Amino acid sequence: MKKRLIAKLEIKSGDVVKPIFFEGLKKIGNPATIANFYYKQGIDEIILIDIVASLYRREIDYETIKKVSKKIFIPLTVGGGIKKLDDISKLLAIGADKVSINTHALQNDPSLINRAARKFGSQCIISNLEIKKIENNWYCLSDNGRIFSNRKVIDWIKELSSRGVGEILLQSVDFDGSLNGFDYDLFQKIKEKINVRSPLIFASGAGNLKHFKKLIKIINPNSICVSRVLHENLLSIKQIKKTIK
Amino acid sequence: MSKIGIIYTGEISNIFSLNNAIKHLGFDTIVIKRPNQIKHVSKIIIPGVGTYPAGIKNLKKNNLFKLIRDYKKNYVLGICLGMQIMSIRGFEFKKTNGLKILRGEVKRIDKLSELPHVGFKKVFFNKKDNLLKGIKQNSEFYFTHSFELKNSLPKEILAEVKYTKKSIAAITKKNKFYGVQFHPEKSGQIGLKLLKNFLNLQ
Repeated sequence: MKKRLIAKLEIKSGDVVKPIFFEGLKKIGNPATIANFYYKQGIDEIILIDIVASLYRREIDYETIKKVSKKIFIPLTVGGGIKKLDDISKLLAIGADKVSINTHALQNDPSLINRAARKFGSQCIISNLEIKKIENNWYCLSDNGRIFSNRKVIDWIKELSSRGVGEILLQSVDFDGSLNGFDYDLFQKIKEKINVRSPLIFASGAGNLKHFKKLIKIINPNSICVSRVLHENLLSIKQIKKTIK
Repeated sequence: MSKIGIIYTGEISNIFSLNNAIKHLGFDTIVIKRPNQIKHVSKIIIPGVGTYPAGIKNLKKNNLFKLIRDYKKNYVLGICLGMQIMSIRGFEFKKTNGLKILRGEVKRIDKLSELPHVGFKKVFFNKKDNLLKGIKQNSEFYFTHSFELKNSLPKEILAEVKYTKKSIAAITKKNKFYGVQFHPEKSGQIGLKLLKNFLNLQ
């Protein structure tokens, strides 16, 4: 089965930015331009995450999202600050195909996942996890890697799946933006302990082709998500797709 | 040029992307919320995000259910949920009667290890059709769904996604009603080609 390559664009105030380990911010450029470029280069899907919506309690940036969705004809997932079903309706109405939920479900109201799946269908609802290793366990964070929760990643994945989530994006706060490779230990642990049907998307840390080869060898994922390695032009989409075939 | 009618299936549907794709291909659209708008269109598209019961409910609310079911004038394309509601009935959350255009029922996918069935999948064409003009056999289209059309009539299945010993209905056809389980407006260039073929059907 063909593997999916997904590009993650982190948005702050209308720009694509790239935090490293979910901190600091390097400005990369215009979201619509970048998304369109990746689309033309053959990316399979785009995930747009507004990384300050939850933190600053801001309204979702509908203008930027509209501009992005107009230029691409591949699936677009939008996340950042989603708290209620109406937020989801609004996003679908402006071109999002799927939405991604983390903070509100993790910290305030997990039933948002159930309600959203029921209303819009599971295929429309994904969850973008922010995972950090603390002592010997991996925990889930929120608010773009800022707020700790005491939910262990294995438990939270199982709960999300039972609540009807469609897909789960596995981001590692410790590896994201590092260019040093994926969090293979985390992924192996997840693969070992988790047996859910929700597709898992493996993200964070890719820097060179060897990292992808290792990921394929150890985990054999169906879906891989990248950001910095593309934003900084270290690898082309074509090169990565050829490697992960 | 006359317009393409996109059926409003409620706030659950993703009309923006579909509208965008159709306009990109050079056609004008009307979003259909009332029966009297149908006479202005040259083709109808039923989009699809959401659930079977919600989709049917919204059609009935806008008095569009019977209208679509009995529509003979022009070609109709159902996308994802839009294709599924053409079946006899669906079992998403509760048993709901469909448009009864296609034989078969819509049930949760139980034969695959992943759920939802999501990603770009190769579609195998069972026969030729003008909808598929210029599209290579086993081209990949974007799927994202948890329910599938089952117990269908083979001659109504134009194309499938094949797995070992099982398959998922991908394209259906009955008279002037086409259905695609995937999202052509999200399948890159090849999806746009299929959409263009539909829009150009005479």
